[in-house]
Amino acid sequence: MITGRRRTALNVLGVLVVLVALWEGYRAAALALGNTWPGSQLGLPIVVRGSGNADQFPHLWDIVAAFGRPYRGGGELLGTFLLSELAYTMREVAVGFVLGVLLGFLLGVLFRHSPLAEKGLMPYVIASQTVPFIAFAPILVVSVNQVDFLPVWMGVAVLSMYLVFFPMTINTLRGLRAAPATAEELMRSYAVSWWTRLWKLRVPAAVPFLFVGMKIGATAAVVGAIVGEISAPSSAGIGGAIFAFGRVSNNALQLFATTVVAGLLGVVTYLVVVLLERSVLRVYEGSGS
Amino acid sequence: MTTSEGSATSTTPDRAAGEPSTPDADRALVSVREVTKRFGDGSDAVTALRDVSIDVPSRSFWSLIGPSGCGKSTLLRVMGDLIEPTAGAVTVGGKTAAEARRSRDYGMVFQKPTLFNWRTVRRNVELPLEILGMNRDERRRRADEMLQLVELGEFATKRPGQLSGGMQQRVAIARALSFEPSLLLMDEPFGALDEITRERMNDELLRIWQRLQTTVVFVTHSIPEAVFLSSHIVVMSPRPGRVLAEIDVDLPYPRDEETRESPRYFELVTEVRETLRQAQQG
Amino acid sequence: MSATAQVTAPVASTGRRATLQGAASRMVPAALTALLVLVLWEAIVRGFAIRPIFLPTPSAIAMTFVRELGRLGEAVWITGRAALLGFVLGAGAGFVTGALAARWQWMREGLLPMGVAFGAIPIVATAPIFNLWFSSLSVWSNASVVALVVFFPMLVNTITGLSATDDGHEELMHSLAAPRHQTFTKLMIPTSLPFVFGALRVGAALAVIAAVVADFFGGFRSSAGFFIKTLMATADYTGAWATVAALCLFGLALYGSVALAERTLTPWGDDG
Repeated sequence: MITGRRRTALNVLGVLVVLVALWEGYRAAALALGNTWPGSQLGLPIVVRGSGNADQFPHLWDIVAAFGRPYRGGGELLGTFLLSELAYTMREVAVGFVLGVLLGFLLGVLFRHSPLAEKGLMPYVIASQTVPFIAFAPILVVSVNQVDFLPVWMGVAVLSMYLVFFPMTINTLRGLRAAPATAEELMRSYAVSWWTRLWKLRVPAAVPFLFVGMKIGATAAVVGAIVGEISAPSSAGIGGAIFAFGRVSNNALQLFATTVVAGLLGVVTYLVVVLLERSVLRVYEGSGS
Repeated sequence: MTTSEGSATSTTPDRAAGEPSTPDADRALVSVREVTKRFGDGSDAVTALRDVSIDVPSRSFWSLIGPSGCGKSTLLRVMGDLIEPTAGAVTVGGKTAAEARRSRDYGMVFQKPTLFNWRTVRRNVELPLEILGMNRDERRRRADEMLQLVELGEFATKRPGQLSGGMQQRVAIARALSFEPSLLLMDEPFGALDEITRERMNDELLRIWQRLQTTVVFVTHSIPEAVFLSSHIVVMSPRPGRVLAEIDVDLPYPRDEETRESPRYFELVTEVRETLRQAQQG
Repeated sequence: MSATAQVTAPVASTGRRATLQGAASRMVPAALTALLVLVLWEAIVRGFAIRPIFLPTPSAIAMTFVRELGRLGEAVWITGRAALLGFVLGAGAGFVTGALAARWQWMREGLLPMGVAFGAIPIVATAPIFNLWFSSLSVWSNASVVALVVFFPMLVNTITGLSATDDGHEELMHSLAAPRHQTFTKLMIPTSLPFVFGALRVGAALAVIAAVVADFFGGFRSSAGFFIKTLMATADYTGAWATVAALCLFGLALYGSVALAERTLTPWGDDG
């Protein structure tokens, strides 16, 4: 009986295999049936046509192979190109994430200690989760761009930060409230300053929640970076590359490859935070707090 | 190992009116034969029950009492086919425990009321009837009848969250009885209530039992409760659970405040207590 | 934006069953703050003569909003219908898949980690691929992006919700010899509702966001997202802000509808 992690890994692998099979299966079936439902003239939802770079439903293997080929007639390999664009985007993600986490944390601390600030601002923090702030992306990016001393990518990083700090604020606040009531009473009986209480009791109690906020933030930062890039005038970064490849129809293969890279970026960023969480929590539990 | 070694200490049969004078295995509704239950295996195995045999006569009120971990809840669950015994067998009205469960011959009341908080009180009581496939009008009538029985008729449209713990348990009892099972299994149903509410609930339960004449097997760790409610008490030993003694409770029904203050009541309570204490030391 | 952490959300939200008075007393400080912010905003922009490329005045935005109401309404509708379509499809598919997964353990074990993992992927990046498949002028391309975005949190929450049944409740159903489909409809589904609505609320917000982002990638020229981009490019900053405001209203309306549905369908709060 296979148990635990290995079993989960096997199940995930199984589902992946099914997905690959569905992809290739659909492609093969669509081509064989001439892109119509069997026995009718009605078209299939996704039409498989084109070939080479214009193949809009390429073999998964072809997508992988495309990394090793030049993406414009003769010249730089797609893989190398995407690597440098990836680095560009990662800078935005990193800056945006770090700034967003810090800002979110500070706001959370503020709200925890000032009921006035919370009552006035919290409804907006919550409402902000329900409205498409991302619609601001072009506005934000262009505005920041206007400031001379800020580099172009900073605008995108600011957008990332913007998406990160809301979940971080809410989770920090929740975490700072998570210390058991009896521990709070103990601290009060020792008459410690709010600073000491913050760092000795509330923040340690908040750590699991901080990581929840950071995990949401990791994904948000990547989404923010990509969306920021497509809202900016230039076509830099992974998002920019997706946008650029998407506009011309015979770049389908490159588009798929770039999208895959974007997906991996999201997953890897998330995993980095998860690994950080694991190592911090291990130290945490070890110290018996 | 040996079977129930307590038969020598049971008092002479002096039963309440309407009960047969000799506990005849054929007339028993629930028959437990050499039931053993082990959890886990190898060196970590825990033997919860060891060779337990009892026969519960029809229409009687039996209690299972013992210290924590003596397996009384496990035994109840074996009777109800919620746990399978490692050895031995249970029959309920001639059927196996599994058959009895599938034909819904018994109702069960748990330690927590386990009401569905998204349903009204009435709909909670209707739950077993829905599963049975009863039509709506019949269900409603039956549910209201049961709620009247437990004196919660006006609360039919309220939600569980609006009721106190004692009231919720009464709804749970109404639910368990809604399909008129011949057997009622109760696992420390009043354990979470305060003393005063518990005594009131005991009175209620006896009143309902006398009305419906169901067979009841009642698990508790409260000696006064066991003596007050039952016609017969099975005292169990600490783990591994065995039957230590079976004590007949010869107090007359109906029982009330006077019963609680009678000398015979205190004698019986003492008897049970001493049996338990000896087991701890022995 | 991942919503995997929303699994714990239902407890916080369904517990609030405010009376009319309670709701009013909560809204007053928030409304006052809004007023204060608007007044300050207007004052600061005028006082410091901030260029509209950074921040137009609220009054200018409001005027543009009213003036262009017709076009804005149309634009929001074009974006919004993709959001609605995708929301319904994605949530439906997520629920059905989750319900199926509840039946078979192996499915659950494979899909749950995948659902979490896919929540980390910036699904909006797939918008151009759907444009390729469904043509950028079809509502289906945007709707597909939205559907994917909504699907994963819904899947995760449905699976989690359906397995969140109390042990005691399960034992009860077992003691009543309830057939499996009855346990599903009478116990698992009601238990899962708070979780499902949590995912629906998150999904409502995500749906509008995803639709707007999909617009950014190209498509209908009169869609709201596209509007914002072109308005910024043609230096019509108040117009861009007005469009954003219109989108926010739509988003709030959608979210509000889901919240209303939640209050109506799960009136019992969380006092279990």
